[in-house]
Amino acid sequence: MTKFIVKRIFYMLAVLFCVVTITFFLVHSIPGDPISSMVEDLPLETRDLYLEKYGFDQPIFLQYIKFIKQLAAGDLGQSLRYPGRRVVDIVKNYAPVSGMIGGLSLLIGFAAGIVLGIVAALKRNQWSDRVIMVLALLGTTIPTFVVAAVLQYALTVTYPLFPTTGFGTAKHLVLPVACMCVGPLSSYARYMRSSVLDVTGQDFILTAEAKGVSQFRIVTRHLFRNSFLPCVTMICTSVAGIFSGSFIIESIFAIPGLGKYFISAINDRDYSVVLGLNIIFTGVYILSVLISDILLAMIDPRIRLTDEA
Amino acid sequence: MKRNLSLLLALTMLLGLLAGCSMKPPEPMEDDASHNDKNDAAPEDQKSPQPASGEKDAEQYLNVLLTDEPSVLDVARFLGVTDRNLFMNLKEPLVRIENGEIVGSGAESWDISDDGLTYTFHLRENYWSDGQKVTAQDYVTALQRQCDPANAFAFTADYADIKNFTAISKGEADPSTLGATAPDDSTLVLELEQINVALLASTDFFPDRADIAQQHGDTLGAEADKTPCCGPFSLKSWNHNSSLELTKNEKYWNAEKVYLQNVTYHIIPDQNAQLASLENGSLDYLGVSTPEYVTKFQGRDDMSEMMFSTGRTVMVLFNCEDPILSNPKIRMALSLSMDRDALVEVVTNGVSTPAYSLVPPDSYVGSLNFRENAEEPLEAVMAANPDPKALLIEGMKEAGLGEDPSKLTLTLSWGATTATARTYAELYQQIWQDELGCVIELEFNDNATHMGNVNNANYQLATFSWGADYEPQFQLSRWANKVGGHSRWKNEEYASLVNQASQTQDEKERLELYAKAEKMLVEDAAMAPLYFGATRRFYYNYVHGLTGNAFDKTGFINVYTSGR
Repeated sequence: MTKFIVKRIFYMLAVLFCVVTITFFLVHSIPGDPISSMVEDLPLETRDLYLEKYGFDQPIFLQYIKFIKQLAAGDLGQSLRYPGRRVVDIVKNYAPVSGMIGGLSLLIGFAAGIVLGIVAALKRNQWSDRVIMVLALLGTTIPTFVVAAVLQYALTVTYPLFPTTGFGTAKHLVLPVACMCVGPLSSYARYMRSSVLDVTGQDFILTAEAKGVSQFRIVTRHLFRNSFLPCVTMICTSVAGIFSGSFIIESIFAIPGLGKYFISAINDRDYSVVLGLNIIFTGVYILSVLISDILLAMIDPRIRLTDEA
Repeated sequence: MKRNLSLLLALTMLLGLLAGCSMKPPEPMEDDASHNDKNDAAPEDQKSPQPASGEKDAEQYLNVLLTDEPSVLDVARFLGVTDRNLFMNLKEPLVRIENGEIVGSGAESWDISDDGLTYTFHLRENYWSDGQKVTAQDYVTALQRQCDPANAFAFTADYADIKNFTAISKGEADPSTLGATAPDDSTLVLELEQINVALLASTDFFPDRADIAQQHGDTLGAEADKTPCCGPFSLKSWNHNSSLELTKNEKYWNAEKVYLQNVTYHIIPDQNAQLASLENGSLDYLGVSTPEYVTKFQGRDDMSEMMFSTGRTVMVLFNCEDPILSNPKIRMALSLSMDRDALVEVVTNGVSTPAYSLVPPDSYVGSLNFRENAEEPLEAVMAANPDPKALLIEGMKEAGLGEDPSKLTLTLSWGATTATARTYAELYQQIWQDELGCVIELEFNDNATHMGNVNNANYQLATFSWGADYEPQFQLSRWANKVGGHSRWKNEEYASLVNQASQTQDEKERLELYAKAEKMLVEDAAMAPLYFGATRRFYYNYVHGLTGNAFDKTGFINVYTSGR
């Protein structure tokens, strides 16, 4: 197991380095420069001075070496669009906000999705199954911004129950979380349903039934545990995603999260933020994949065995 | 057992639904209407007693929109108009523009030497929000930091006439040689390299604290507690990408004209969210362009509307270095054939004004309105050339391109990739193709790419807009530099006219020089002016004192609510 983990960590670092390099050249190859888009009514002379200042007039390879040196020193740099904000601080301050909204919606979506999935599977082809599946289909296909716009209008204008935008109190969380959990809820429900149906047909369920095990025990002991496995892989990678936030939800509800930083950094050619955030997101993602592998190995002895063999 | 299980599962499902995303709207609660949690201390609409007409409300607060997160609230490193507008509330500039007039603000009075090169400002007694006095040295500090190469200030061009400012910003002169000094605490002296009569109208001089700048270094102005304030308001909190809260600066010299106790900026990039916020009263006013909402808000008794010039000129740039567009007749044919009325109607819902010149009606030369005294040059050209297609063919012959317009292909670059942008671009395309018979291809890029291309003159035709300022100098000087501006339109006579104008004290004479320069620019078709931007602003009837003047720099001074 230790050898397995060490090997995986080594792979992780290699992947991280590749991602950094590719992102660097990709982001610098997009036409346009940081200042042309950020400053309105910019005189041409000023632009040249600015580019010179940050070394953007230098050959790309020299810029890359400078960046790697800086990175090796543990410095992710400062935002160009928001001078004075270090990438590390941006993550430290706003990842928790995204994490809170993303985490809550994932939790609710996951829990509700799993329950609905099981219900749908157990009531296969009955009306409750059909209703759940139609709703789940709608949930996965209707884009978040439509859900958000409708919910926002309905619950802040027509029935003004919640604040329209902002962040800070529990009330501010309701609408964004509701909008964000629709997607995961629907996909978990659909996923869980097919997973349960899959397991229901297995021989050990038949065996259990033949032994006279109660239906409740079959569901909780055998069905749930086995059909839950594929969802573990899903939830681990989703956890990595929650910190990156949602650009759409954050823009609509004026939430100070990371998603807005990330997307607007690309639009603004804020090179250091794009790179810095990408490094961190990649790191978190790879780490979560590693954790999900370890978790799976713990839950499912078959994986452990194949690995040792 | 089976029945019990189903019941249990159904119950869990129901709970999950409730916890997850109940779509059923619960009963509306009166108390929550129009109530924003940010203003818990503020009275709610229904509860506050109606004061007699004209009487100011006891609780003075305002909720306003910011479409973008400010970059940094440091006068030497900021990047945008958003930041500059915030400074008008947070810092005290030497002078402000109020109802189109320059009035002393941080400076009580000033003298200009006879040669026009030395400005002596006599400062008012004003205080920073931490109680320290605002001194002349603070204004010098700001200029020193603005020309410091380490700060890579984006607006150095605005200060280029101050002695050695440009040289220092390029690292070619010693910082101590800057033409800004403070002989005593309340006297500020600025020395210029050359006369600039528009200096006070178009340049903002804010004070800055050397000790605080030193203390916070790079992070100055990145957080509320790192932003020194000495204006009508100070920054209470700044929740990045969400909101900014301003609170009245009681130590401000003109505090009696500041009626609002609190101003909350809500940073909402999404347009539907902005409209919803105005509709439920979370915002007190908003510029609205969506036709359905315009009709909706016009039908509301508790709202009023005002037209508001944005002080921007929307245009199509011609790249004069392009082999085809280097011919002025081809450029003029394109400019003349554009149906500006149609653009205004379709693109701006009839709110904007068609432009036949560069400088918008809001600009002044001293006390003279520029547009009232200078005809729009394109109108005469239009009358003289009723057939743009003939002009195009003439130009094509001159350029050796044959005489068949259908063999002429030009590309129009657009700085947005949205569906609306495509619709508008197709309108341009259709108008030109119908009128001139040439082929117009369309290219869409995101704003950063588009602006990069425009700055590098890597385009043929490009949509563009340029903000005006109080004096026409700001717009006209863009084509007067070495490369000929974004159009790469090099014209020495034009450049010397613009330069001469900026040094002419006499208003009438100056206006004539500007008018002559503008005529050259438009008649040689360095660009095609299309329309002067405007928006329709809706505000609740209880909001008073909002200015409708595009160039006013008063912030929220004089604004109050009555009858909220």
